[in-house]
Amino acid sequence: MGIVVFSYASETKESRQEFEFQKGLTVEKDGYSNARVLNDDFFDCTMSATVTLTVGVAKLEVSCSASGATCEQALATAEGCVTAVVKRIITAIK
Amino acid sequence: MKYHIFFAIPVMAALALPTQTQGQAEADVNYACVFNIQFDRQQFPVPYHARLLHAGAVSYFDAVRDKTFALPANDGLSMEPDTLLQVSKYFEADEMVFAAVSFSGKEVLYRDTLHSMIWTMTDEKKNIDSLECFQAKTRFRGRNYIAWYAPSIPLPNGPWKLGGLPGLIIEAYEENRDLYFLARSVQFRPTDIPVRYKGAVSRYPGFPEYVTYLKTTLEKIEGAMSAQEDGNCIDCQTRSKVKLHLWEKVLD
Repeated sequence: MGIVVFSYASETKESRQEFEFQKGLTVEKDGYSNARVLNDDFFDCTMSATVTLTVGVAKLEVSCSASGATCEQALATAEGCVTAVVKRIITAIK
Repeated sequence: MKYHIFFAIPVMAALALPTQTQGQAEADVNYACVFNIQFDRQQFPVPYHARLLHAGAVSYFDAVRDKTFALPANDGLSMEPDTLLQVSKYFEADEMVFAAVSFSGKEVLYRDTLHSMIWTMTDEKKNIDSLECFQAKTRFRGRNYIAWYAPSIPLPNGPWKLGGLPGLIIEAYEENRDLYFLARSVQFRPTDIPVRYKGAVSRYPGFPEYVTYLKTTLEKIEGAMSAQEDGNCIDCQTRSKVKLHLWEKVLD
């Protein structure tokens, strides 16, 4: 769909989200760092993908988080999840 | 007879404003508007050009996005009409009609009570250009608003759904400035209200129906989410959630 974007931390509102990554991997978007290493041990990576549907002035925010052995795997799963959820929602509210 | 007030002009001489009432006055008010399209989450203020047309006992307001302003590249799917915050007010019927976008992308008009917010007048006053303005505050559908109105322009109207004060609202904003209006010009002249908003107000569904529509839709969405969880959660490691952000917090 080409619309899956990272959620990222915001210092201005309550929607702060934190992500877990393998050691040393950081992701930055729009000047925000949304990654932090929680500990030094290897662990599953958890990633989140969010899609926003704008309906007039209303916003429907759909997000999925997924875990995987690698961050790439987790992100792919999260993106697949959010795409599936959006499709289900669109079908449900037609 | 035309009267023009352009706030870009720094010094205004004494204004010969008409002593008209809401029943007779015709005015064309241009507002600069800024709307944080990512309200309640992040900051992404977007400029709009807004206009209030007041013609006797009827008025029409809408806001058009400044097309020179680039929206965020990854803002997801958008079903945004050309104009936002459309509101028609019918002073004799004490009602207004506003435009909402359904989740299928259709524009639907609903009725609402005219100026149902309860204002608290404060002692604050300031000049906006040459107009002496007084402050009033209100809480309306989950948000706090501050308005500055000019008693010297005796129109109890204002941008969007705001109004009901003893003077035209010159400046108004939500307390976090996620929605902001500032009048840039006021012209007293004959105005044409869009034809589609003429006629009986009663033909439109009421505000309770709008709230019911939102609730029903949200239930459908949550149902779809449950189905997603049921189908995937045994062998997957995903968690999904959905949140509906409404400007008027009618579901809280």
